[in-house]
Amino acid sequence: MKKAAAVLLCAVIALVAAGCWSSGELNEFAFVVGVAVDQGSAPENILLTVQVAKPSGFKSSINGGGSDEEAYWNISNEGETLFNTVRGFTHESGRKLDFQHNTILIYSRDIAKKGLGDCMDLFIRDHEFRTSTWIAIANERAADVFGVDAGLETLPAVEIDKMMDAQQYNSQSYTIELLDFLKRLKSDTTAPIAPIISIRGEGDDQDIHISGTAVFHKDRFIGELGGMETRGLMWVTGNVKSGIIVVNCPCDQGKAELEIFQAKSTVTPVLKDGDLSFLIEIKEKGNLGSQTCRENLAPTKKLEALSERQNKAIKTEIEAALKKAQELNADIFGFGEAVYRKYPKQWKSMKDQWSEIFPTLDVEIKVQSEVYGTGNITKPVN
Amino acid sequence: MFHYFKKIVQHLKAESLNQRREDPFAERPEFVLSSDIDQNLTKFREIFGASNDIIIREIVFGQDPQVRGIIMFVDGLVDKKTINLSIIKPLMYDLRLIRSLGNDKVPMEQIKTALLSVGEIKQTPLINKLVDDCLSGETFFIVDGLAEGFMISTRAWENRGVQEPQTESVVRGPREGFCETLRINTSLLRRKIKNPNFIMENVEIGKRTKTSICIAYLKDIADPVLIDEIKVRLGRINTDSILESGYIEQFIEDAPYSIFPTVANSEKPDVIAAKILEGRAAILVDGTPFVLSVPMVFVESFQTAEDYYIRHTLASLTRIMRYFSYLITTLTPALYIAILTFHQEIIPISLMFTLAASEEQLPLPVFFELLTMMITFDILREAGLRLPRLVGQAISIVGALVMGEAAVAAGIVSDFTVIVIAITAVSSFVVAPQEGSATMLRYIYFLLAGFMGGIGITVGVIGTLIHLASLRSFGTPYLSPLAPFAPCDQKDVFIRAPWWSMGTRPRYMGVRDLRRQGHRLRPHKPQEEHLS
Repeated sequence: MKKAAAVLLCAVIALVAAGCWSSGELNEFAFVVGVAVDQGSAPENILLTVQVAKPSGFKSSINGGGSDEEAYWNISNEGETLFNTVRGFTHESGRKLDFQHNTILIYSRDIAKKGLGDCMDLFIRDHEFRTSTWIAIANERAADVFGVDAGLETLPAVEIDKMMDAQQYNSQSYTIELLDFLKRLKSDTTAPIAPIISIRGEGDDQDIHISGTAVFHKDRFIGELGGMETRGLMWVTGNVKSGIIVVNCPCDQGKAELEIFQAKSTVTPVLKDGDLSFLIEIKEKGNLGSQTCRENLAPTKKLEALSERQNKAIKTEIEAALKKAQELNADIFGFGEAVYRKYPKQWKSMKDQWSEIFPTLDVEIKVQSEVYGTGNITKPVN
Repeated sequence: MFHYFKKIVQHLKAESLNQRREDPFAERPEFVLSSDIDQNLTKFREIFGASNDIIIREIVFGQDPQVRGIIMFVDGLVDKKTINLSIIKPLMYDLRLIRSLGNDKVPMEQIKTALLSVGEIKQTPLINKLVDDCLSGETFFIVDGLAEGFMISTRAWENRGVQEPQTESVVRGPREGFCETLRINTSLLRRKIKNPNFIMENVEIGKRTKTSICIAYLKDIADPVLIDEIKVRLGRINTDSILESGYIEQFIEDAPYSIFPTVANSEKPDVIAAKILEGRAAILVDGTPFVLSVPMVFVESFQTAEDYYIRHTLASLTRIMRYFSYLITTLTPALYIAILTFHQEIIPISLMFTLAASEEQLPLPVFFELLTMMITFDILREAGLRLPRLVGQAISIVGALVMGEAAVAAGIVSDFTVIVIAITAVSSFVVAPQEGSATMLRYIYFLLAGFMGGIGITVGVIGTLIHLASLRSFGTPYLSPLAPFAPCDQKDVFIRAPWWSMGTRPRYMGVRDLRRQGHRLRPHKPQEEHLS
């Protein structure tokens, strides 16, 4: 009896003393869905803008009510350091900001040029932030991106989140999560990259646009890749999932559009007599998606001719990316890491001179592609 | 303050000691009949007092000399037709045909063998025995000059008859259910198991109610140790009344404080027969249609009679559903509260905003909101159960409207909470034998989750598993055949294997005869048969 009472007492104390630690109601938090970091008014300041989901706005959109209330609320706060600025939001918001559902982290180009490191530590150190958050560089003020009305989604930040996912169908911008960005940042040689986000259009007709890739040296923005160059990069890193390659028809009287189905890349460093060179092999499978000429492309010979042209197109993209990277002296492909993996001993001596080795690196590109289908029809429609 | 409690404890101790000294069930003094009928009559009048349902009929029968006799029975418990035609008539009329009534000796042996046309007649000189049997529906007959009485079996009383049980209704399967009369219940079982090894042993428990209890088992299958254990536990019961099998259950169960039942019960003869055939023992109690069966294992609660009658594929699917329902009904409110107040990060983002939108304007914390709804539901359920059916419907409509519509419209509870309560409530009815444990677990988990979130749930579930693993029912581990794991017995746990493949009985009860059917019973094509 005494024992039972003691156990019961302990249980009650354990429950009550725990005091619902860390519990909180949904309507006590302000859920942040997007964070934008801009240059503050003073040079040493940063301007932090967060997009907070506003559940009351959601309610009206669920119930189909005609309320014009926005489902989000963008608030800004300026400060010298990041964490202090984040906490500073209590001056403006009655609810504590909660970053667990943050989807995207946007830095303005100014900040990126100065270096992201100062404004990133918190996002990785703090438990509330997720390392699976997208990271992007805004061409203009990062905060403005959150002001653009979302197309299909209720929240602009969620729209951007979905757009980032959708990039894989085009493979023209290299979307990257915070963790992967950090991995590149912490690497000795590999250059961090991030997609570029910009606003197109004027007034009410504004749209968010994601294309191109920002290239960093350490944490500083040094240049950017265009759409095709980005895909060149993605061919090498093996990130191409889908996309369209446009080539001239074998008859040269129109265009053929080939849809990428499958792509695989192998990057092999070759060390011969102390000379380092690289061999990049790409294997791709595609499908004829559309054509503008009148020729029947279905015969095997024609398809082979198409894949020949496709090889060339892919090779051109890779070469463009390579050229740009060597110009910027930024090892965006992770060549350094590849050498380290294959020649760990020799790498020690190469490591420090990598910035001299990389721009003049010899790279051989072998593309082996296949066009294996013509879709639902064989002969062209026209 | 402590002195006060101390005093109470001392007082209680003293009282219990006092009670022990005067056992109310000490053996009654034994009386025997005297040969003087008047003396006997006074005695019986004294015993029965003024009860008006006890009929004492004095008769005179025979010739030269005429003999006085007394017939006594309880009105309503006996078949009067039998008494009139098979006892009184032969004595009064037919006795005259026997011409050998010489001397003054009554030819009792002759009367018993040649005159009383009733199935069962016993003879005893003990008054207590006569009184007890009379009260359970026998008629007794004493004769002047004889220090012995006859017990004539005339039991017959109004009973409900065999009807379809309210619980455990089936779509396919026998519709008969046990009733309140022990004899009918045993006959229902006997009709299913026509085997001399099917033993039904009688015990009488309850010093005042004298309730007949019957232990039914198959002698060549059931573990003799189990039967002995049941007898020992039943023999230990020293109480004045047994009104329902629940009394017995609480006296003999292994874990009296546990929220899990360790004695199974059923209202259906086919279920009990199946359990007996598996090697269990059934305990039938007079006066209730609920028959107990032991030992009980946890997975037994998830098996229903119909599982064995319908196709095994669907039976397996529904059985897996039943396990899920049990998890849903115990864990849903706890998970909901834990996720909403502790682990908001695991909610998918789109669901998150829908949830946040519905919780936005609510005045109560989710914990109290959910708790209120859970209690409301339990109240409604209780109200619906006890009320007459027509009123019960009205209550459910009011409940549904109040809970489902008005509360949400008024902005007191969120629509998600209603969904959670609804799914919890619906799935709580799926596993009927464990409904009690599910309700208890639901509240326990809910409180733990409300205080400690996911950690609380983990603690609760692990605690439950430890407890379950420590339980035993009449020597059988409660979690068997899962723990200890018996691969052979898995054929009837999460899935129900086809009948032709269930060649052996469950092993965990230590049955004497493991095989229940032959080998190679799978139906096959005629030519295959020819080949083999």
